[in-house]
Amino acid sequence: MKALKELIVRLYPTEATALMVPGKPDISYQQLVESFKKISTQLADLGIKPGDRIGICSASKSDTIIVIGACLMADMIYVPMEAHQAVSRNCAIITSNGLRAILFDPLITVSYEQHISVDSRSTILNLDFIGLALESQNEIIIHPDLAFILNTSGSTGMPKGVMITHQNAWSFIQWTTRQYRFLTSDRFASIAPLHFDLSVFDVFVALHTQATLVLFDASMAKNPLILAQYISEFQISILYSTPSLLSSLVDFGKLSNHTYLRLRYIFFAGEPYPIEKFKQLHTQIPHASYSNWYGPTETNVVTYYNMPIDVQTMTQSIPIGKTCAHMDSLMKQDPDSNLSELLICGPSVSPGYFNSRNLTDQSFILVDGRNWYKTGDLVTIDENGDYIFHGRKDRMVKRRGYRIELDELQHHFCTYPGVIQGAIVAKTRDNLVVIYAVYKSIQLNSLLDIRNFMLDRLPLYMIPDHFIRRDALPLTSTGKIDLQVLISSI
Amino acid sequence: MIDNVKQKIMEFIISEKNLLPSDIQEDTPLISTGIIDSISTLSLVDFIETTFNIQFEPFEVDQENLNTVQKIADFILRKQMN
Repeated sequence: MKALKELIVRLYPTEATALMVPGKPDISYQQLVESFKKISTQLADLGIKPGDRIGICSASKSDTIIVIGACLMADMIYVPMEAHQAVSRNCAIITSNGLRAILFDPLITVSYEQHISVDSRSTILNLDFIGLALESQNEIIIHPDLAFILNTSGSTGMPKGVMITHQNAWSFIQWTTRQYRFLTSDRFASIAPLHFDLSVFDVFVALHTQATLVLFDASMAKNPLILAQYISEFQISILYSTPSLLSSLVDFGKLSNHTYLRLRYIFFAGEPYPIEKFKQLHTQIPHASYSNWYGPTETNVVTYYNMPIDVQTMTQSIPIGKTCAHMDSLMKQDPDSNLSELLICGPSVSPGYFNSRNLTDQSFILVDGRNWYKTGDLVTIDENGDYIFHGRKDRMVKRRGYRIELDELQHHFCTYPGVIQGAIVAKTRDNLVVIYAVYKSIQLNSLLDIRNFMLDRLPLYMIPDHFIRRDALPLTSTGKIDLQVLISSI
Repeated sequence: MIDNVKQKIMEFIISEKNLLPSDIQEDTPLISTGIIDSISTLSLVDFIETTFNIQFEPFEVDQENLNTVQKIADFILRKQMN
């Protein structure tokens, strides 16, 4: 049996609490398992077959998790989507992932109806089930072990669908449970949205441990005051998040108003954690064990660095650490610098991007029959054998843990009416990635209007921080915009 | 008094988001339109707490209270009166 399916099927239907949602009744393992079975049958009755892709576009994490379990039980492939992002971007995902059906929050269904060809309608849980009329498309070959697809920013202007197999996710889950000790009495926090790869840990490791998963929705995750209060009230013991979110807890959450005695492990990933910011968190919650995890969506976690107890003397940047026991890594000399690109191989490496041989061939390379992922991340190795992250080979940046391809932004920005020339560049200021849109245009534009134009096409976390109008942009000898000169001129 | 409060908030938002003064009015929706994202919301809350000497309760960090300059000013005055 496929690994994640087995994890779901083998859950003990006990009275113990599986899911907690602030302000709502708890859901026991018994109720959860019953829901998985019920929804799984309903989906099959609606004509969804093994291998079909189902989009889940809901702000309700508990509903989403029930659909996820139901899909895994019935060998269907789920595609978690951000409910409140640009309709056009979700429509691009619907098409490129060849979705057979989508489950919408009833509030948002109407904004999609004119863009998709509705074949059937029903209601599942509290969600609108929309069956899609599939256009005749070339037969897509589905990887036999495919479990779900996570869509991330793509440099062409279209999101890329990272295929995650049962084996990919399972090998990561197994690694975490061998490396750390999780207990059925643990309370895992689910802070990351379910379309973000950090959530794979929260959901599956909590269920596999038969522990309790406490679900925080997007509005709670954005409000550090509420989050700090809930982490304390719900006695969270395991927390996995981005450095940005942890820093916002320190800066704005008034952490000292509460105690966090049960907090045992805090894992962070998605971007570098500046050491001085980390020390501030450590001072507030000194008794927890901390680990820096590293790995792109395509590989999940591949290296880890368990923070030493005495962090206050650390001055260097936090290493991304050593390769996980189940993975392999190697360094490939980068021709443009004295750094090396990190290449990753092993059971958690994705087989590639959904229905895109081209993109897959650009980032993955077969060596002696083994599939290596070229991370594009530049590293060195220190005297302890720990990897140190230095930056990117390409134009991808990370903000609050989210991947942003600057070229995806630029692609859309340059279509704004009146923009003659435009470029998107990023700079790091006070440890924060700041994104600038620099452009030449016919007339002065309302910044609000440009911002709204971008929001119609892209998620909020991608929108540039500053829009700068210039009389001319610097050009290279070949007539392209000289990004290096442009960056230094800001 | 209230005009002074509004003025200070307006100036903060314009400089924080690098806007033109003509981009926002007292009733321009700020959060629901994404002019102010979640991180800027936190800076705004921090600014309001220190400038006007009030404390937000966790549930008060909300569109209800923060979506327009007018709403923010009303909220501040309500808090100061309590």
